[in-house]
Amino acid sequence: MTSVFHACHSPLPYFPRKCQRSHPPRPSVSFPSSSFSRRCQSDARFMATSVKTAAWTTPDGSALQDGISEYFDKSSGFWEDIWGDHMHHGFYDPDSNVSGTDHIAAQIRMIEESLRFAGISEDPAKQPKRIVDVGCGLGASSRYLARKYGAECQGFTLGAVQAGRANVLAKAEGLADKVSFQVADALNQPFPDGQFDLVWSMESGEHMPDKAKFVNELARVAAPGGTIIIVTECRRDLGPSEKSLQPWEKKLLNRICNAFYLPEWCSTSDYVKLLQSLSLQDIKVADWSQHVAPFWPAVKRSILTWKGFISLLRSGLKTIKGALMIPLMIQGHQKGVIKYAIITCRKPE
Amino acid sequence: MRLLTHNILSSNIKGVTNGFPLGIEVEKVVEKQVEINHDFLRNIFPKIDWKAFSDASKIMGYVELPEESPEPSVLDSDLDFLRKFHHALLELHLEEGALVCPQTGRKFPVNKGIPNMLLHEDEV
Repeated sequence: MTSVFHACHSPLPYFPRKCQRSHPPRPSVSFPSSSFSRRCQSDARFMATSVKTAAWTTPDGSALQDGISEYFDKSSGFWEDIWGDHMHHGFYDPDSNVSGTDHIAAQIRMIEESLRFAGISEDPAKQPKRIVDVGCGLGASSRYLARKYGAECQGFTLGAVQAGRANVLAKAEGLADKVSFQVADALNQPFPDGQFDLVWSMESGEHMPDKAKFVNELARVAAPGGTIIIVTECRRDLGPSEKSLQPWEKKLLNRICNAFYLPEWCSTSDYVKLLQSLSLQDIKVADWSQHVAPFWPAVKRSILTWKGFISLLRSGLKTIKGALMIPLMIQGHQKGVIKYAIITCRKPE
Repeated sequence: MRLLTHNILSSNIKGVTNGFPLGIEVEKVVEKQVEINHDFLRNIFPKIDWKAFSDASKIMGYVELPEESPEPSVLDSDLDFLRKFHHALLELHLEEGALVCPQTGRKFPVNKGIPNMLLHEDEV
């Protein structure tokens, strides 16, 4: 395995990263103290304001939308520096030793396992030709799927900077003909009904404030016979006698919501009910929590390197605030409050 | 934004029943060469709304496409047609301008080639 190091890299052991292709560099942000302190000041003012604002746990739609786009536009650069363009969990064998694991390969495995779970055919005649990537991040899934299936892929995100970077990466990978990215809202997808053979939502569902509308849109833009794949973190299902989560569980999730610009968490069974209400077929669900358990500890280790730390500082306070939540994510997973689920279904012909 | 994307975007403003195709206001068109892939073109052809596509290509300044949708058999043999189809679909980019809702006239800006399709609160 080859490791790619930028100019300032850690002499400490760093998880090996298989580099199959080199990406064009991000526009470099120089690190003069004046611009950094200006960014910190504006971020600090923002944080001071946000602490006073009451609405963090139930933000109104546009405040949440602005928060999401700004957060991801600012933090994507940091993520891409450390982990690359796939902005989702890797898929690991349970209880495997991950210290030597190629996490990028695990992220790609997550995509492959998701496609397999959904039952996407190996027969080229039945494979998707037109794909939508809902909440595409830097577009890694889109590019991977376009390459795999020779399909056309439309991706969209709330963040203009993300969309721009996704387009640049598509061009660099020779996929500019097949994939393109725009700024759009998953709650109001800018497509006519029934356009896509595959509707792909990889860890974007967490951010949707109106899950019913989100699922409705996924179903609307799916072509008859098309497949919908939702991979998402969610809260645990309630027990038969439970009316709500325990107070400590709610408190944990609320703290994470504030930092990661998440609306209220929903459960796997909430998603299933929504899909059933839309008469979607072949609904399948799996709890993959055990397959992603190594992920957040690996993210934490990657930040605790010199390179990770510097990149985090450059990305501003909002990203730092997100990073400080990582121990809570680990705790949430360990205590079974946070689950990782895949939900797939098919739109009737 | 390429015409392949334009051919799938529509206005989803509340109350709009006829949001496709979006009108195009051109401020800057850029041509970006892309290697031709005949299989890709053959796969995508049935999904293209031809009228919307040929109208859009004219607005973008390219007049070589036929008005009427050609017979699919043309894709197998007519290399000249494939080249024009490829060029209009994938190589013409609206870098700056706007997409226009056909029913309300509302403009969706296109900056640096990226359409912004976010709706305002009162349009949802």
